Amino acid sequence: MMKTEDKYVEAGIPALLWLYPEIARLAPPGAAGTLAQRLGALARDLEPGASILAVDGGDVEREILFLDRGGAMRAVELLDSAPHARWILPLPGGAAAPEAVARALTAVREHPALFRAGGLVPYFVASAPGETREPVETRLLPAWSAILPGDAYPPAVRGALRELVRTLHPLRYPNFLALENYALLGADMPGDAQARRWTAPAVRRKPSKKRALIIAVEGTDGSGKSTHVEALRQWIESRGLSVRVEKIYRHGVFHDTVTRLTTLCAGDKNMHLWRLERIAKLFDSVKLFYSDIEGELSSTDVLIFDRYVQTHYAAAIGRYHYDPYGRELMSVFPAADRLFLLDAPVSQALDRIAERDELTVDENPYMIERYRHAFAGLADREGMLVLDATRAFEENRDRIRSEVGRLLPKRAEEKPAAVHHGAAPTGEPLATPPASESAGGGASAEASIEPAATGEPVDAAPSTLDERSAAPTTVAQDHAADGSAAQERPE
Amino acid sequence: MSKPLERLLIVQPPPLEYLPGLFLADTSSAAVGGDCARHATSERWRGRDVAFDPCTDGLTAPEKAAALVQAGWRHVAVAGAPADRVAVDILAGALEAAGIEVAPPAAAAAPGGKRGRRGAGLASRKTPLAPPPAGEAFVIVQPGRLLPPPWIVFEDTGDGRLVRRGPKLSGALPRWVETIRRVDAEDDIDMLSDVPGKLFAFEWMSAARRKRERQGVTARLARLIQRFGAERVLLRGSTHGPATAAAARDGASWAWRYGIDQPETRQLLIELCEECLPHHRHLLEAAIGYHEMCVDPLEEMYAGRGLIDRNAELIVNLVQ
Repeated sequence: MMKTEDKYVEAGIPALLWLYPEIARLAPPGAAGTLAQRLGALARDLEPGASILAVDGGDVEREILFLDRGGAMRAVELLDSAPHARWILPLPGGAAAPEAVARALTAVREHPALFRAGGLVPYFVASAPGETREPVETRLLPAWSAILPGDAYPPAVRGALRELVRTLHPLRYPNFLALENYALLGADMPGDAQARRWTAPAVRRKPSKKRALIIAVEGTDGSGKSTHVEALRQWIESRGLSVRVEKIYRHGVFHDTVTRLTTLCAGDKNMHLWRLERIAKLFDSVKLFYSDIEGELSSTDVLIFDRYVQTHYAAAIGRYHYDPYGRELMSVFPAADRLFLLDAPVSQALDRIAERDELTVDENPYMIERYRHAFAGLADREGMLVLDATRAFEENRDRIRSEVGRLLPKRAEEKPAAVHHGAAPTGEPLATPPASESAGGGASAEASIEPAATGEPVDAAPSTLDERSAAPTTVAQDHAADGSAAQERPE
Repeated sequence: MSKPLERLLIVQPPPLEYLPGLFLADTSSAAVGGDCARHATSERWRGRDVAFDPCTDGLTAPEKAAALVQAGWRHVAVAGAPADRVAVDILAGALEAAGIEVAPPAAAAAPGGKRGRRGAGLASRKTPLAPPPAGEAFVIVQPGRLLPPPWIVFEDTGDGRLVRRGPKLSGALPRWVETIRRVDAEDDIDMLSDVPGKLFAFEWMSAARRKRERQGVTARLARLIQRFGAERVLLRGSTHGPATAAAARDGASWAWRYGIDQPETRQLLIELCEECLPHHRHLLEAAIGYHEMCVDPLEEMYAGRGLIDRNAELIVNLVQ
């Protein structure tokens, strides 16, 4: 048997209930159809022009009222006689919506205290169960039925509707704004939250005996990520390990498409395209995983990411206050072994960005501050080590080396077995740390990856390292090879 | 020392309630509102131009700031309870951005309205009195300290009851509510008296960490609902979070007020909803999901950071 909450989720009604939780008892779960349909069934017998339906407790007491002065006076009597009554205001959707909303707003403005005291609930009528009507073409998700009038939601109608809700339920106004926001964005955030979509599903894949160590550096634009990533790459390479630097959050690949999508949102039109912009970037990262990163996970010692999946999360939270599909799509990426967050004040980030030739859509004070806030919120639950980017570069560099150095020995200890079983032909490198290396946990790493201890020939390392040195080590270089580097820009 | 103020408006951000049908409105915030309203009234009796605005007009923070600028307010103090901390910061930031001087201290005041008193002492008697903003806010005052209409005043009788002493407006509470009775998890439900218009605020959090008591709490809530009906029972949220709670993690002060930021209280709340208030289970799941997803939709909207509000700014670099 379907549980109560599952029924709600399936019916796609949480938005209306989130705004007006008191109407849940008017159409209890278990009945057929969505809440809007069931409310529509209650209002179905209303004559044309009838606007208010009074329902008292479980016993439906129908009072057909009109939003004129006489109706309002009648409502006063009803309010006194039925203090527990629930008042709902069915509004027609589609083309009739603008006039209906305007008429309701006029009436409510005349008697705001009256209708507020009655807790009048406006909603858009949907067809009742079993009723056949012409389907309404809409971009809205089913979850938003009864919140907005189908596809007829030009800014003028939305403005009147906002004012109607604000006048009737001032304390719920932020709730309505949130629902409108996500409805236009085309994301069902309350439904997703109920369905526990914040827990990303684990991707079923063959367990890999060996996987590259994953280090990721996160931060806002201009926080110094690329500088630290390059320093870390050189340091790890100097220890004889093969390293690759990747950027999963690529500006270049879909840049033109994304730009075109977002500019179409100017003037509050086609707001749903914001979500497509986000999804385009997510899919680009997924594409990159299967084309490049999946192979590198087994052929490289260390993968350093200049931004990782957390940037997608921060971008979604910072821009849309919500992450539609991000965690599901990004679940193909393995969890990073160590995450660093370079936290830079907006002013410092802007100073660094100012040196660049061109700005991305996000490189402005508002968005940088938003991303910084989002990263701060994610830092704890994502296990990021926060570094103050205002401190000296060397200080943060040493801290990163210290943290990464603790992980390197383990990886190095695993290496001899892989080499011993004939991994060398596929490019498996050998760790040959320079004797002079001593920074950040280097001593223990040297001891554990000493070639003599493994019994493997030392001269195996140069050949594989030479092979790797011929290959590109950064994404930008990768794209330079295939001619797409022109779209890539440093962050 | 701060320069003397001419006219002072004390504002309190509106409650941003994620679970209004499940939880009683924050009584701590209502107490701050009562103190501020009471203080503004007494100051006005003394001829000082002090007013209190509970921000129940449904305006977002930037809209409110613009409205106050238009109304000629130049000095504003922002008050709030611990659970209002984020909203206080948002409102204070919007006021400052609009060119209004926010009276110190900028942080939220503890219940008792010290903020209001300190700021009001700087108000001048020389300027004409401004009309007090009308409000339908739910405020709580101490016994014998009443407020004129249109305040929805509840008097704290000191014995676990709040009794209505104002007009029957709705605001954050149903208009039929005359008395709010606090019910502790240890109370004998069968001994509670019933009168029309009584709302029961069930205190459940204290037992969350004691596993043996959980079952008892659920049983008592079930009995309470059985006796008085689900419509007359609300849960009571935490009113005094830890000092750092508001700044913890993603700053979701509402999460600790509802007890969903801690595993023990969250689990008990889910059990209570499943057993006793199944109609609210889906809303609770949504609120827990917001917390887990690091989203604060109400705070974002109150700050005027919705997609529609910021669309032009979001595409600014592309248009250029």
